[in-house]
Amino acid sequence: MKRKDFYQLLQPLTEKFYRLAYRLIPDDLQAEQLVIDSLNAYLIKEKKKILAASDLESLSKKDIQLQRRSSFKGIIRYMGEIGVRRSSQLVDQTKFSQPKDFHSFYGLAPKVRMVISLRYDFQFTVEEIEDITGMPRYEVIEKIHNGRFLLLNDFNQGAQL
Amino acid sequence: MIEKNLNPMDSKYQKKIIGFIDGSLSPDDKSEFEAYVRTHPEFESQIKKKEEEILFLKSLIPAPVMSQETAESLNNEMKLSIFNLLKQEPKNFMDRLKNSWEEWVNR
Repeated sequence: MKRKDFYQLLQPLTEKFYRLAYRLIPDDLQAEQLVIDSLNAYLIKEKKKILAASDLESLSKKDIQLQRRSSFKGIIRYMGEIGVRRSSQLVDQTKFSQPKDFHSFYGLAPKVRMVISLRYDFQFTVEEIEDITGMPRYEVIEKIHNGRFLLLNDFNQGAQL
Repeated sequence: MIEKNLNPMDSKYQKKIIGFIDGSLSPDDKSEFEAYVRTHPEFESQIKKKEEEILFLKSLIPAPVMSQETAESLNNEMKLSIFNLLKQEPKNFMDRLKNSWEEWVNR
């Protein structure tokens, strides 16, 4: 695949990349950097595979969608890995403060925020989340349940005050 | 609270509600689920309840939007990364020419 084709393949996903990155590290610059670092890690690892893939013009619409989804999953796999680690480091060093809005969500552990986003925003199945995050199935299910419970519980408590 | 009158069949299909709503059920499971709902109209209220819960949950998840400036900067950075990291080592003069041409065209 030509470089410009790969860029065309990813370009419609920019907003989604940013959205997930910002949920992991709620800071504009840090989120942008996280997207780039995840993309770079993916490009370095998958360079041969990407260059050997067919050009966009020879692919059907369905194949382009499949290719796009596969690249999306590949990149957010690195985003999860880098983002979760970086988010914890930045919080430890108090390099950024939690946003005031959506404090229940940002109060969740980064891994839970990642899993909840993958499930409820990007609508990945539990199996796909297992594959993306590298977590065993029981852990993915546990994080979905805990995240959902904590979000709803926190909202209900807030509403009672 | 434990629901005392929960039909075991209902509980089997209850687990599939989320998959049905987000479209992640396999075609076979989907047909089976739809057939069950057709024969048990009262089950529809449970689907509706779940749909509402998911919608509400989504409203508790932030949906940050990039500013125009961030979007431009991020797109440029992504393009730069792709063009730099997917560069093929030129084997001969023609490859070098091809790389330079591609870079010039996509600047």
